[in-house]
Amino acid sequence: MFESIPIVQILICLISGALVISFSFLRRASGFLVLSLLGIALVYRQLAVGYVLINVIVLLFVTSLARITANSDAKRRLRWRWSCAALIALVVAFIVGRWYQIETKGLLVGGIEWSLFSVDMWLLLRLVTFLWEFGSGRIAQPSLLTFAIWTCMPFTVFGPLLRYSQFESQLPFMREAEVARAVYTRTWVLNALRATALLVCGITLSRLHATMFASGTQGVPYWIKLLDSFGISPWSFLLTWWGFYKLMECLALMWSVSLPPSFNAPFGRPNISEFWANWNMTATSVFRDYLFYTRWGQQRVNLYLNTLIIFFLVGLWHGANWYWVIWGMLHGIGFCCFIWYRHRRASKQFETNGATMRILGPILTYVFVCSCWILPSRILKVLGQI
Amino acid sequence: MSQSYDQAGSVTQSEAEIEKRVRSVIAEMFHLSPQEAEGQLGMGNPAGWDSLGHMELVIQLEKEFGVTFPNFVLADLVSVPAIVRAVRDSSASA
Repeated sequence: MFESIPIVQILICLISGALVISFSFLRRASGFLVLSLLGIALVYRQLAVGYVLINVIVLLFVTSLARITANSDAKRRLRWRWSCAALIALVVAFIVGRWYQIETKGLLVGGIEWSLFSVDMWLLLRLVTFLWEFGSGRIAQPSLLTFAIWTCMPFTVFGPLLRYSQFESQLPFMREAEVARAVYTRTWVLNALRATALLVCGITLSRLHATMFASGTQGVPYWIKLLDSFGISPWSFLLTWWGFYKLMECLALMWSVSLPPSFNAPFGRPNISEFWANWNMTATSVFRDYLFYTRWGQQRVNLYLNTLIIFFLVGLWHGANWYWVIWGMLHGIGFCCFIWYRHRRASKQFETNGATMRILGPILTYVFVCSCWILPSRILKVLGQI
Repeated sequence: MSQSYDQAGSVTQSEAEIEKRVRSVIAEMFHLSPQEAEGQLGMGNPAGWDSLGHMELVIQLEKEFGVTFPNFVLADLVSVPAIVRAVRDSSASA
């Protein structure tokens, strides 16, 4: 867990933020761009060129499409269709690349390493939202400078997601007076301390997990395994990433960029729907907005089918392997059960005791969510034995 | 009734009228009292207006106003003013 925290990114964000606050000549578009590109070069090293080129290709596609479909209502549909086609192509390339683990084999074309695309889940999500927003007409033709800063900004490279339209609406951040004003406040300091505390707690729990299982799982008492599966591991994961994303929110304010929140106390929520509404919110909202909010997906059986498809894709987004596919499907089945229960309750086909559900709901949801992290490997083990 | 006629001669509604009808649909959908329906309404308030309740509400609103919201607008309909704007825009383009 600790090893997966992008410490380099935190340092880059901290340093670039401090530089912007300290030197006024950096508080302009070109300054932000230089810092962003330097950050990308440090984070991705030999993959940085591929990262930039992938973004450039998408921008060129969008720019060409914008020119072809400019000033014509009839061509809006064409723009939407082509954007969707590009979006699907990106998703398919990502999934296929991940499934065949091309990052381990490398994908060298023209002397440039392109395999990054198949492993960078946040890059995929950023580009998907960009194509969707462009296709739907929410954003006009993007400027090269704004797009470059948006896609290379160090605060969002490993999440959270800041959609292009959200970033574009903050463009006056380049006004000098705004920079640093948000940082020199008590609230900012308290939030940064909270974020650090969450991160430290998460990393400490992660270390505890590593110490407990230093010599493997064999011989470890059952109750310790249970404590780890339903206590230490889920909380270490949540606190670490909650702290990390919250820290990114604080550090981004050094550039006067406001990032949306990522977690809002997801454990202890009364049902699976509430859990997902408060878990990794910037990513979850993409699946909800683009796939759940569809008319097709609201018709009787389709609601369940659509929910399963969405969670299947959520699983693939986490990792194109059987563990994540099963994890996604388990969540999908859990969510379907909740929808069924909700519909039955709404139509008064059965009564539930409100007080009992207030206590049972959060417990059941928590146990279910934790089980979904444990069960896929158990299922795969059993299937392997068969 | 604050209705007016546009250049094509069809009846157009004022924003206040649309808002009143929107609040009425929300109140009926989530079983709100008249006082609650007059308050600040948005996704999460009332409690039933979550991602599942959202689409049910959208479908009811479309029935009420006889419009079809574009797919990419659905996620934005998270407050009364946003819905009023969307109804107005959809009615205008219909």
